[in-house]
Amino acid sequence: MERTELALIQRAIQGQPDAWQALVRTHETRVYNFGLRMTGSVDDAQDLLQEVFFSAYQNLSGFRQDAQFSTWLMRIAYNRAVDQARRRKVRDADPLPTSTETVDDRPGPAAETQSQQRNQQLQSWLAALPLEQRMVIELKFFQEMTFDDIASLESISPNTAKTRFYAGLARLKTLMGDCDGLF
Amino acid sequence: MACSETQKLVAEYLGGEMTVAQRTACEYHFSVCEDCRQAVDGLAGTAGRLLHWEQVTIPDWDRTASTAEEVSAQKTRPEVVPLNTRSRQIPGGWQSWLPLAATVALAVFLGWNQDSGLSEQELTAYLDAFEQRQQAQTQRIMETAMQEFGDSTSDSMAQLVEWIQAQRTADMQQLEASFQQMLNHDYQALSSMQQLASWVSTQEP
Repeated sequence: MERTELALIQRAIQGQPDAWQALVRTHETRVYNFGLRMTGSVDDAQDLLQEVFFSAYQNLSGFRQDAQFSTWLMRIAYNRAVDQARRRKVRDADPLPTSTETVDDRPGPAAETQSQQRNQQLQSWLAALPLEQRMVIELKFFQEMTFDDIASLESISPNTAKTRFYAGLARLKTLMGDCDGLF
Repeated sequence: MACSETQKLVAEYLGGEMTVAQRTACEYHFSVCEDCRQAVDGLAGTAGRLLHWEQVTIPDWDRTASTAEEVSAQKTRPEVVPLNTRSRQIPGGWQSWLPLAATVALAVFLGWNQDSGLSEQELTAYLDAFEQRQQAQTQRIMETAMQEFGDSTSDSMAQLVEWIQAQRTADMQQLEASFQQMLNHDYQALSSMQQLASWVSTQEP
């Protein structure tokens, strides 16, 4: 871990708000995008963001400083995302998130709009996966974790992680169908 | 016969964890195994599409909220989303029936009272019967909620039960107060009944 980040953590533990805010700024985009893909909803991603950093701050003194802060934070994000999905299980059975939930309607250049549409489409496909498959796809593709790390995080075997990964991809392939327009 | 190695090999291959030697061996297997070749060809494109995700810039938010006392109190509670918000509604819009039921009960009672001169004893019996019906309704709601909230924590379920019970009690008190007000003022005209119905309707939360 970088010395700068370690120093920020130590200062944040001592109660210095600027240090904590600097840490948040460093990692918030990663956590927020994780939330968008895991929840399929801007509202839920923002809720998750708040919960993750709140939990991280509350447990900061227990952070082992020989570990990666980003890994520790994503473990919290994983746990919070699972909790949130359980609390809102009914939403998993709902149709894909509506456009008003997933689209940032701020005006922007055409290219930005297209990237938003691609993200929205990806969110919709991911949201249609069972949580366990969505999580492995997320951790593998977007968090770039190994199957062993995923297995450790989720308390499953590496082979189970691989099976979920394969099943998730197969399901996504069906969902994507022949949709080539945006990709 | 399907290859028993397809899931494992394709996952490892697309997961990008293989050494060069492993990839070479795997690709040789794909060249001779129709099942694996079809699987990896189909899923490689799927994996490629996922990589089109473009990082989203986070909207403005309060970065100090995670250190605030009030957030602490809010976030340490198991979350019980109000049942009349977002997607966690119990089917049937069960809250909406309460003012209507109270209104109908008032209207029935008033007509009954004008026709027959309802006694206080009869009123009590009527209220008891109404409460029993409401308890049955609450039971049905709880059964629905238990199904929907099956994986919730026991704490959040307890909060839900407490919340529904409080709602039911408040509605009963409101209904009884309405009856009492009616008795005290001896409403006799239809317009008075309409005023009462209107008043109860406005109490909807």
